[in-house]
Amino acid sequence: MKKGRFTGLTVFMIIAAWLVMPAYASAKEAVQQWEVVNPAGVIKVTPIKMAPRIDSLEGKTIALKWNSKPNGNIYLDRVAELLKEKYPTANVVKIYELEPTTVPQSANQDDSNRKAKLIAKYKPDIVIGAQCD
Amino acid sequence: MESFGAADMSFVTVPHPLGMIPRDEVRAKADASFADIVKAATVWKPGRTTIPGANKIPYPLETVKFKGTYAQLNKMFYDNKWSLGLPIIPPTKEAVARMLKGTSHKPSEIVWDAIPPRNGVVTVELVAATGVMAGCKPEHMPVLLAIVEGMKTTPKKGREWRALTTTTHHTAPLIIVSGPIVKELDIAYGIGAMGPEMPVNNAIGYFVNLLGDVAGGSRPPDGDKTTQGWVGNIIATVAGENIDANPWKESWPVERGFKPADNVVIYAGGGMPVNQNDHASVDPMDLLEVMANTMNSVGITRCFQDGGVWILGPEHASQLASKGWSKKDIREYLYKNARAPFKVQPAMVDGKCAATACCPPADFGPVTPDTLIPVCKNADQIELVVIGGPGKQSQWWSFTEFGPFPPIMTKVDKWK
Repeated sequence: MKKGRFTGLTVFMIIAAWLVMPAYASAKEAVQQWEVVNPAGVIKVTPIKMAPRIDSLEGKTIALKWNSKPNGNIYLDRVAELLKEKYPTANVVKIYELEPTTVPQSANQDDSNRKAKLIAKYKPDIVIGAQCD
Repeated sequence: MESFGAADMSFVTVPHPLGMIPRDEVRAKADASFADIVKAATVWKPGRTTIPGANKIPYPLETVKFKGTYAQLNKMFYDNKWSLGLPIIPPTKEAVARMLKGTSHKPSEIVWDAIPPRNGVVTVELVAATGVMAGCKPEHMPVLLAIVEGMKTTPKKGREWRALTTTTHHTAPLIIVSGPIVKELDIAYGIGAMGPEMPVNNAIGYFVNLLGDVAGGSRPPDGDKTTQGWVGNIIATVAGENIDANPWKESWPVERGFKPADNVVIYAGGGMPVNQNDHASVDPMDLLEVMANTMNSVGITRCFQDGGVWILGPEHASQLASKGWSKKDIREYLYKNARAPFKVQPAMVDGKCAATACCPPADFGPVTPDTLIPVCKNADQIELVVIGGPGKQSQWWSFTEFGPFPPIMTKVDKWK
């Protein structure tokens, strides 16, 4: 009798599990119609006017900007040599030597704006920056 | 690029590495890339002149309809860069509306007009939506808003959020909550507070990085350049200050002029913490000596940095205070003794003070290879706070040069 009761209970549990589990599983995996918000929101941008493009480096003022990372200055020093060699009429300005406060990484946006103004003083036609790391 | 207002920009990629190689190799890389530089300067034309999607109205958030399972919804969020890969609670309009009941501030209020690097506009509604996704509850809203206020604040020294969240350095936010609200919200401050199974701390920590990566766009490989990253980049470390176990009684914010009844969020950040596992020191001086040597790991903090915070386990704190050492005494001892010789510091290149090198300031005086160089600039840059439960463990969090200094403290109650 005990065995019979055990068997009956087992069968009941299996049936119950069979009835419940699919419902649970289907609830978890059910296809639903969701209406959610986009958590990326929108972006704030102050558009800047892009500098006019140039088609030659001859006679242009070319500013070189270093971001203080090791060897970026050596890289730009070599670029300056090559520019002077290939474009002798170009005015190559090593901002990192003339304006040392432009070298350290910016602490904030205001700091970046300050550096941009310092570079603009030299009226470059183009700025080449070494953003190395 | 876009966040600075430029619709397009001309790049020449020079293969890594550039640092840590000899001068000749650097020059050879310049030679090899010079033709590309000239081309970029004279031939390249911008692919576009306007930035799509910029400057739309930030409130209300766009509503998106999606048909699918919960798992498919999570995948859609990840594919759209709206989540970090961990499951999120769907930010339905109803859930966001419930979350907004946790603050009296209007959902349209702009909390941060441009979270870098993406320059996402953070409204109270967006904070609520991100909080829902992270598993936060409406009563957490004032804390979440105070954290955002801290993240956006330009520090007196140190760097703003952009630096902390985009650098190759393995930096991550550290949020400490202080005041009666710690217990009111069940923010963990005792055993295991900064890690396991602490639902409020972890939800708030998940919120911080969801906000930074989704609205802020700080995601590898573009927005976040972290070389390897660590788990603090996905769940920011959050803990309550354990004032009950603080032998000096004064909380960190009270030291900085707040009142004991003030609920304050402290936003700090820095490199991965270093554990101090000292079960042996009996005299506070012995413990301090170990602490000083833990701090001066030059690969972590280098020299003359912006200090950091010792998160003292209560037993270490108690031991330090046992013979009358004040916080000021401890700071001064650590400043004088957390020093490593100049010769083991990251070197200058060609005698020039490049970033990442140890460059003693001129007023420090002459330096020889054996001169002992301090970790930070002065004793006040060494912060002390008590967090945790039983055990003889403490953590040193270096602010490096990327976290704000001093850490930003904001009041919570103004956001209720």
